[in-house]
Amino acid sequence: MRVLGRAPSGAVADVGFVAQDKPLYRNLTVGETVRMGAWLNPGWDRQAVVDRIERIGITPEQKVGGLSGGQRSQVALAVALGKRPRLLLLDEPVADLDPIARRDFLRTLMAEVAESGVTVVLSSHLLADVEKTCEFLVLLTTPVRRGAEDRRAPGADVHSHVQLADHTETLLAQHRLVTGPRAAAPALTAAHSVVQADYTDRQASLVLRARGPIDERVWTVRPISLEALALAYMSAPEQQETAA
Amino acid sequence: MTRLAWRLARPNILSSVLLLAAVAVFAVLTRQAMTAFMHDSGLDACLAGNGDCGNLMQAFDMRFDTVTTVVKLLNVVPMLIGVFWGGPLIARELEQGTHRLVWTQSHGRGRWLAARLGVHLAGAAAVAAVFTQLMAWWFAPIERIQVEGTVLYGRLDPNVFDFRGIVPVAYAVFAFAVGAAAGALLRRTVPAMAVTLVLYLVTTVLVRVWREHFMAPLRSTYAFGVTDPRAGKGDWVLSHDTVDPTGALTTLAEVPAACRAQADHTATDACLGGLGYQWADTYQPIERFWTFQLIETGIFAGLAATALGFAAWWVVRKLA
Repeated sequence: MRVLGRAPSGAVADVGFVAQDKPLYRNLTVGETVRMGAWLNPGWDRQAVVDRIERIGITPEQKVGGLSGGQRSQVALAVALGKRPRLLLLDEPVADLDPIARRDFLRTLMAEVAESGVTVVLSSHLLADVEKTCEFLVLLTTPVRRGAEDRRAPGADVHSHVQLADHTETLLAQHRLVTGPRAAAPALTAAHSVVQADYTDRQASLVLRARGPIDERVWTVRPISLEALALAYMSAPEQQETAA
Repeated sequence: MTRLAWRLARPNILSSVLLLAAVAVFAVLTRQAMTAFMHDSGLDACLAGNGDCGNLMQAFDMRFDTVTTVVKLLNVVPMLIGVFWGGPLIARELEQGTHRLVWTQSHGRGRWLAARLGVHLAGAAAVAAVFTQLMAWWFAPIERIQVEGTVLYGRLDPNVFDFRGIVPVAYAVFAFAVGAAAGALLRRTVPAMAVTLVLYLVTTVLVRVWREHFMAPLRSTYAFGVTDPRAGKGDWVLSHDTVDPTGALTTLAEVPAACRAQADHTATDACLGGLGYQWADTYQPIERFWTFQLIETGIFAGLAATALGFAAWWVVRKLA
């Protein structure tokens, strides 16, 4: 594996990382945490970090342990960005945040991306946020039943495989949510790839990866949200066969 | 990295300084009381005049009984360093996830480990050294106490040896190293502290039992009724036996009844001495104090190096 064209161990200084639980030393103050970043990183951008902290609305004298979850996430992000990484890895960055903190976090992140051009790779289950922030989607699935997955020890070998990997714009352009008469479904599913299909007695609603134009006189064709798209792929790990 | 390690060690350093200050206050006050008592009771003058100071010394020993009991507690200081510095050092980082924070900064985990271990090791050694110096100073008056030619608190005495010289530093470094290794392996602070406590106690007790065999003990025989030729030197006496005229071991209960029936024990001793009865002592001479210190320091330094090496290998190669 190569990271930024180098062996991973050689790229550490250029890669920022925020773990899911946003670890920071709880008994340090915010100011000390910023100084810590300077101690640990030769290319530390002190002013940028101080500015970011100021924008969060906290003072350097506050103890990290006393911050709210959202503030702590913001500080962790500021520290990760302080080393001026070319690649930023975020593991479930907003999973444990309330909606406002989540919005603020992602806003900071997007501003940073626009400003410095840092590449961000983030993992998330929150598809709405992914839709708002991500340009490229990699969908990983594990071919294990959900119950079994929960019981697995953390750190156990997980054989996830990539189910989908493409630019979000491409994905949204290719996929359609299609509803129409069930009787017409076989012809449609033969012409396009079916991601997910639901049938009632008379009605078919399908998520399709369109290979060409869809007859809109027969079918109601709507664009699909990234969330619905990802859900369709995740709930149907195997490509659906044609109508039953 | 080193500056972060210092910052993170600050609570440890502060609490140690406070603890040392409290111990210093105790040492100064009790030492003053002890030297005053020695002076006022005439013990000083008696010791200077080489007289028989037995009664005065016994009085001193009784008066400061509670103070000298503290001596037996001094050995816990290195243990506390191991439990409260070593145990949490790596375990707390793993517990709170901060290792993911520091390991992903520009320097890797090797630098992080070296800095954290280095700072704490230096601190542990310094605390142990200062503490030992303080206790040596405090203990000086007590060291002179003898009862009937027996130095009560000789430097080789198992209760005293442990907090004199350089071994306390080795104990502290060892305890800390065990704590750090246990923390890395167990990844939980409290279990790491408990394991450190147990390992430290077991190791020190074993080495303490082994200590008298570091070097073959010497043997000294002298007749009953004669002053022990090594009286007052402060040797570590391992056994003090009665030998009959043929050289066989015996007990005072088996000596001839004629001698036992004497008016006082001086007469009994003279009687037995006349018959050829002897005392046979095995002992480690006080001159071996530093040799023993070096041997024991070597043992604990070796164990500490092993534990630290294991901790480093485990953290750098094995921890996910």
